[in-house]
Amino acid sequence: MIFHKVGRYLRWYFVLPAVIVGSGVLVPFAYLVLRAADAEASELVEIVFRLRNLILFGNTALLVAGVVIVDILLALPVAWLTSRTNLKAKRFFTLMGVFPLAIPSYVMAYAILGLGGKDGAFAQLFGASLPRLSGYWGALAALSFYTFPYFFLNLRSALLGVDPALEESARSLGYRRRWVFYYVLIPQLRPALYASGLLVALHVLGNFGVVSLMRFETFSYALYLQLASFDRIYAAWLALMLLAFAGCLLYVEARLLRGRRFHRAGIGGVHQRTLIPIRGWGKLSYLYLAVLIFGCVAVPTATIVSWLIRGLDSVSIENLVKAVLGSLGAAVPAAFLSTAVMLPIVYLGVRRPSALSRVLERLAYIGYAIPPLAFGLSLIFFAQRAIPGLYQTLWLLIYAYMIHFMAEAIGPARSTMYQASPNIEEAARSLGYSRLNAFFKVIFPLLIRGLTVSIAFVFLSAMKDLPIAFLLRPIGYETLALNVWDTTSEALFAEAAPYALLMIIFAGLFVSLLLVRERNVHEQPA
Amino acid sequence: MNSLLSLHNVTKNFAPLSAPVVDDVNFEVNAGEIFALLGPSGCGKTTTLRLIAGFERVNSGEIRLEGKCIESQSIHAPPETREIGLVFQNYALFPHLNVLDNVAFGLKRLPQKVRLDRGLEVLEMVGLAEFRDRRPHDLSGGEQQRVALARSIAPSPKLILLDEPFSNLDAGLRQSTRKEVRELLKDAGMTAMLVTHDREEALSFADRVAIMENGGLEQTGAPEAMYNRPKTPFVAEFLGKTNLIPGDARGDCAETRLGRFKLDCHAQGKVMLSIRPEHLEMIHATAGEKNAKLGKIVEREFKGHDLTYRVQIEGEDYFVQTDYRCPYQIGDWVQLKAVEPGVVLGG
Repeated sequence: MIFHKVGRYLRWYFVLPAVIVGSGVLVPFAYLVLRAADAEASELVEIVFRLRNLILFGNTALLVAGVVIVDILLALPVAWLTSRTNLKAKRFFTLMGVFPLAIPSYVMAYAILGLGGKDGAFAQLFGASLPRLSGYWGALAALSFYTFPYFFLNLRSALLGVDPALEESARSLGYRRRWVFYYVLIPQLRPALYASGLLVALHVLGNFGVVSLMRFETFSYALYLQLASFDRIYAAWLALMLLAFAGCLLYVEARLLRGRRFHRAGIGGVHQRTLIPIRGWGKLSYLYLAVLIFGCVAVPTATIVSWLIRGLDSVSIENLVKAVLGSLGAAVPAAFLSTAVMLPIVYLGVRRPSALSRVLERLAYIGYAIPPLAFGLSLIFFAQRAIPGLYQTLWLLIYAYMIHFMAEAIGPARSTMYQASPNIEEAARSLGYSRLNAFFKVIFPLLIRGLTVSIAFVFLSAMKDLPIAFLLRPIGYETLALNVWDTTSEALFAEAAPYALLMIIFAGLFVSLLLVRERNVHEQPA
Repeated sequence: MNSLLSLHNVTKNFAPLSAPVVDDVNFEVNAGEIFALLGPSGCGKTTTLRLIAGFERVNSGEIRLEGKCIESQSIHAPPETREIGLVFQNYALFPHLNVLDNVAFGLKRLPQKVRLDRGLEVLEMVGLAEFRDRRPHDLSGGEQQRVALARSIAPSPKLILLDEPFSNLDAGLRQSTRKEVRELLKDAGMTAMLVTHDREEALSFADRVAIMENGGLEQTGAPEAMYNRPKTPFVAEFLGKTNLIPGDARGDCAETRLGRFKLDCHAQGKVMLSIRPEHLEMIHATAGEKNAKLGKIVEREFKGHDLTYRVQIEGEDYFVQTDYRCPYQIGDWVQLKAVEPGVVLGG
């Protein structure tokens, strides 16, 4: 059925990307399973049922749950204040709510670690030392500060999207504002909460930099330790457990979202929302926002700057350039390749949505959801067994980035694709252009803006990446992320500062792109 | 008559220096009555409705419900305490609740069983009991509209406000739904206030109509009286096609360009008259009075059971509505004659 429908789409320019995406996600997974199956039957029971797995599971679950809860508590008030009230300087606070995204998680961890302790940044600045936050609480703080913008962005646009008439109906039916929030608003926000919850949970699950710097043992951290001790079979099993955990999260989210269609019932105009005035005790909101900004923007930035000043004389420009070039060398090709491969799939999904196109897009998302250490490990197994020459080459690293971050390219490309009417393509066809020529002559020029954003998304994600580079880099290859992590894990905070600062600058570009894109999305007619 | 709702000099402007959106508005709605606020878009009618519901604050003036002040510069009863139901243009049904839960939503103080029983009772009233378990988006526009109505009726509010409630329905459904809703409101003994820009809707749905323009009320009255005796040119033209003719009044007659007209009331001096097209008659140029002005037919619009002619006399256009038997064609010369007295505007 599927192939009957897409029969006339069996051209190389559709088949090749489909094969790349399909095999890119599925083949490494097969090798992971193969490698795990190397275990002797007697070993197997011992590997799977050791108490340590249970502890790892407990730690991972605690961290995921903790970060999600803290994120909601941090993000919901900010989202509400910036969307529903007459708060002053809303744009500034919105920007600040997104800014933590510009601080990669391991840089955030580095800042938190570098803040406390006898010779930490706080002690240097104020004379009195703070205890050094590490372990569970350190990981929780770093990951929450880093990920809460995901909740903030989603909740804010959900709050702006809810039809004001729904809340007004509830008020006119006798509900006080706080109960309207509970009975009407929260149910409308659920899809946004689930979506950002899933995203954040996957981030925490796959996170390697923070947990290893904070020395908190989750599946990802255990996987790293296992790799260091060259016990590849147990590592493969840990990767599978990590995958199973991610699979459960995806399943739970799909179940929760099932049958929830929250688009507006009924049509017609939506009137302007009346903003809730902030007065009396409400003025304390400014204090709350100030503390939050101080905690997750000012503290990390100040920490990095204070270490930078101290280590200024030890900065090696040569190493810095090498790391920047290393980061660019992998991220730039990956960004262009993944956008090029994703484009035909998006085209199919928009022009001829079919079961196959949906499966392909889903696969791209699964590639994104696979925890990066597990993904990297499966690629190692694949390269070692299938194409030994590929292992520890830049090619494999680029390929891994391309597959893993492809999902980030889908969104912006698809939204511009929807705006390019099929009619202009048909007009070109009727004027004698082949399908491929028509596409490049009339559709492609319209997509360039969206594709630029796609490329930028993949580029900056690859720039920030730590775990995949850690596993797949060629020997001696350096990136900014690796250097921040290497030096920080040795407690060489001053050496880490310049890399961390460069990382923030690069990631800052990413955030400004996100904001520009958000504005564009809002400008689109519904 | 006892007034349930009354507005006294209500004024609202959104920005301090801008022109008021609602400008010194006064009207009353009587218990058991269906009242319509009619006006072109942007005239301030929806803002008036939102002031009554409690979603906007007045800048000056006062709104009273059952004699008690619910809104003034210093008093603001929150919307949830007003017991005023509201039906939105887009219905605003809660997408996460099924039909019955939507209807029972406002009955929150009652025990669960009583809530659902009462919800079902109201659903039966609007004839949608069998849809109780459906989600709002599975219903048609007309059904959603009745659920929205049931939801606002269920808590037995003192007053129901309807904001352009029929504008999202297609033309065929609109007329029948209007009739149904009117009957439902009357059967339930509800007092209702409708806001609309559709004059036919207001005239056929409401017991009394107020016409609003540029934030102020132009005229209030029963639909027929408003149509037949408009007080301002705006009202006369807004409620239907009309001929506005200046004249010189002396008692119950006036001299106009078309000759002597009878008036609906005594007047003296310069007046503006409104004569509906159906109140004019065409006579063949050679019949009738000898010195009457002649007009030429420049347009003829056939509409099935009637016809509208445009007649030009000395460069001025006049509209005449006749029945289907009228024999005149474009280019014919005719005289115009009034069969009803002219309405003195501003009188």
